[in-house]
Amino acid sequence: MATSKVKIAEEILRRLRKYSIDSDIDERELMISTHETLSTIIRNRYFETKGMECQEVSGVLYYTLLDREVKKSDSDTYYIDIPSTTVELPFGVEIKRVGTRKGMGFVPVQLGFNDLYANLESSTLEGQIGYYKQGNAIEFSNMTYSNKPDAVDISMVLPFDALDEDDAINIPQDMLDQAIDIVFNKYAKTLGIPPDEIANSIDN
Amino acid sequence: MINIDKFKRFVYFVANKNGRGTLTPSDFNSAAERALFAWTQNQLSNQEQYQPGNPVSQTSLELDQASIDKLRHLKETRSIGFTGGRMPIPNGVITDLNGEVMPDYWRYSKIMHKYSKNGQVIRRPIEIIKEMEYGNRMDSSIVAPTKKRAIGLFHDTYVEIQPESLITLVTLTYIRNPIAPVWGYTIVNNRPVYDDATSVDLDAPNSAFNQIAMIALEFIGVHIREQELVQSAMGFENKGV
Repeated sequence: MATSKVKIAEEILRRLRKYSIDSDIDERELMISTHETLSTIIRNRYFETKGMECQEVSGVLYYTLLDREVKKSDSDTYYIDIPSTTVELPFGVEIKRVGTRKGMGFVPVQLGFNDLYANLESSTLEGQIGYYKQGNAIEFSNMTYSNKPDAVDISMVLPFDALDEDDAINIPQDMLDQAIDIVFNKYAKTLGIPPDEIANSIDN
Repeated sequence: MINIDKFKRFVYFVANKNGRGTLTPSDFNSAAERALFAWTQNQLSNQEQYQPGNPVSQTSLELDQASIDKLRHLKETRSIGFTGGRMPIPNGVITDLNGEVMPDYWRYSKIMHKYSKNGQVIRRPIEIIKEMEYGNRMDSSIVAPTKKRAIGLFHDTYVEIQPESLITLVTLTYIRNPIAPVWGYTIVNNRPVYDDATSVDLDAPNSAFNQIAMIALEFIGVHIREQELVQSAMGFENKGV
């Protein structure tokens, strides 16, 4: 079942208010915390699945953000602003695709590609456009005035910041359950809510 | 509502006073009014029962269904229009959006306003914050007030609503002051006789009759120096008679 950022926050807030009705925690704080927690879970699962040789990020976690304006930098290169922070994964897995809607996707290259491959045949990417992340931007190589699109689409893992709080998002239920528990426990400490008693028949 | 004459007769019965000058109607009215306010205050919250670090009284407004039922007769919900982010607090003089005078405010319950998104109108609560939080909230990059998540701050005669330029109409729900009871009378053969036309009944549910009467009897017991009466009334009150 699709949920939304505000639904997740509300679920946590309702649990917290069972203990402290005067809780002055804002849904927006919980949304930020949920985003951080989900990022950790996704990253951990990515590495956990490495041992099973099926290292991947579930497709349901990728969202495509449309029509991000291509801008020109002071150094005459082209870039788009990264619309949202995302999960940091090896090899840029967190970004599935950058490209125009109908054309081919651009080629992911490493930061520093332009210097490393300068004057080499491979630097032209056989006429394709490359992209890499730098700071708050995704910068393009081999993009010139003549082949520059006005806007590009970008598919990335859970771009929370770019989603409206009511937008439907699809997060696997087990992952959501884990995230909600973690965020609840973070704020339970802040509010002085006693932790759950754990019945441990081995130690007892 | 509790009939004031019935209430008076019961109080006089327990106090064993027959109305021959030991307690004037004026004294009785005063005791009845104070007893009513004391009872209402106890239902709202009794700060004397607070413990350090645990500001919780034995009962309080909306603690459970019983406490909700006890005070629902005092609940007022009024639509209030205003400008400049200043929602006036009802004082028995100012009027609501329908031009009706709003009874005097006692205790806050909630403030709602309408928020529209994608053509859908949603009623949203306005969060009441404390003075010490105000600066941090107004200046916050995370929890600053927005039309969807507005905040309110109580001042002496008004509630400051932020963002002030976006909200000009709210619905306030509050607990009003109870109406002061009056045992009205006319003098017949030099004796006061109950007058229904000038009387005002006790602004409380019938279920609270005994409790208010015991509080009134404590006041009356002190007034007429009847220590036994005070003790007995306190005993009854503590037992929840």
